[in-house]
Amino acid sequence: MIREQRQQHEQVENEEALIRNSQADPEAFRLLYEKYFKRIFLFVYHRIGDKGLTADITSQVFLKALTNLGKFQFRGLPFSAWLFRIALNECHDFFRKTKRERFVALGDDAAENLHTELTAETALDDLLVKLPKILERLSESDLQLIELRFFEQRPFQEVADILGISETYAKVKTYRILEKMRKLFLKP
Amino acid sequence: MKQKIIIMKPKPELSDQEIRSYMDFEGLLAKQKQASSSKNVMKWRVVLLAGIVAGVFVWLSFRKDMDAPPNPEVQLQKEVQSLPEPEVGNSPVTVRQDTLSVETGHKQHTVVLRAGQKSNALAKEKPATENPTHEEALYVQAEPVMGYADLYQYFSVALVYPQAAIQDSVQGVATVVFVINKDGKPEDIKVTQSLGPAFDTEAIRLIQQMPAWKPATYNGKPVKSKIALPLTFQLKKIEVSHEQK
Repeated sequence: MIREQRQQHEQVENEEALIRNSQADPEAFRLLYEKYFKRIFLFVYHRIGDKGLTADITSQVFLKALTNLGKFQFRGLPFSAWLFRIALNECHDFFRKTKRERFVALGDDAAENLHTELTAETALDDLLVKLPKILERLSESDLQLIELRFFEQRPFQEVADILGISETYAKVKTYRILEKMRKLFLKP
Repeated sequence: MKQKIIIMKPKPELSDQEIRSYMDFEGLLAKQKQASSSKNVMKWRVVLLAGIVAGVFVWLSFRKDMDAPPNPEVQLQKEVQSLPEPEVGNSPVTVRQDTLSVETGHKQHTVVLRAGQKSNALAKEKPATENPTHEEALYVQAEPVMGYADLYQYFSVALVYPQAAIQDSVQGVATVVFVINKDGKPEDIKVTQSLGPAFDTEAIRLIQQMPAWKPATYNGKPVKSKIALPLTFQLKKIEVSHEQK
């Protein structure tokens, strides 16, 4: 346990040094780019649903990160959360400009978890049929929260970091949204 | 209209190899370089623009200082304050205040005529054709040939308080704006701050008949210039005993 924590601490310190170096020499950003590219690409792809567009948006995310590295501050916010936040904003901008349909990627585990949270009395298939309409009734910020927490199964702390809210507020808000979804789901 | 949502189930996964095929760090660096250079160009443009604006501001301030006429009013007021009892005709300063007795019914008034409180040139017409390109460009403001003191003396002597307005006890400042043309003659006389038609007529008459002016010059060449003069029409009730003294 202690060994894991030490490794994590060293990792953060290395990342911090890499970010500092990248501000002076963009070539140093390569390691961070390679480390996070896959995660950011999949994050965007699960929302955009198109590989070509995803590649463009991911490239834009890293460009913004690189040009704004000076604004990133080491105050407990992981660099990954900062990147995801940029990615989320880029996706939001993309949908606002293009009015394209939005994708939500749902794994089997995530579907079952959500089904249990909403209601165990009805069949899972019912939920999957109704889910797109229920999600369409949510605001963008509510959808982002549900997506991060249930569809991507991220811990509350990470959800809060990405959305820039406190962990407690993320929890409270999540259960309010679930309650709203439950009502929409049970509505005949 | 709400955004359409499509559920992707099962969650699509991509192979590492496929994702890596989209990686282009060199392209990212090139874009970053381009973005930062355009940012720098913008920064330099802003700096350059700020420099030009500051330069123009400094130049205008410098010109303003050069063009600012010695304010005769300030000097005159100082002199007036230094003299305990102004005497008519003794100096160009003291004659600025004059009194004349006017009988209106049962009342006896003394009309105090104070003219030419200020000699501001509110707006100076710069020649459009001549654009100064060096610091030696010199603008000299128009001024009365005999000086401002003489002009004020003229105002104090020649200004007639309109009889029609005495009963109404109208007092105040009428501002007259006029152009001193290249020949030193007043033209385009307008009353910008009026006390009434009778006062306007008197103010315009006064300006039309005032002593000659030296036109403003720009690099030694006479040019038109706009002058604004406030004329104070004031009624002052005085004690008979004081009058008799």
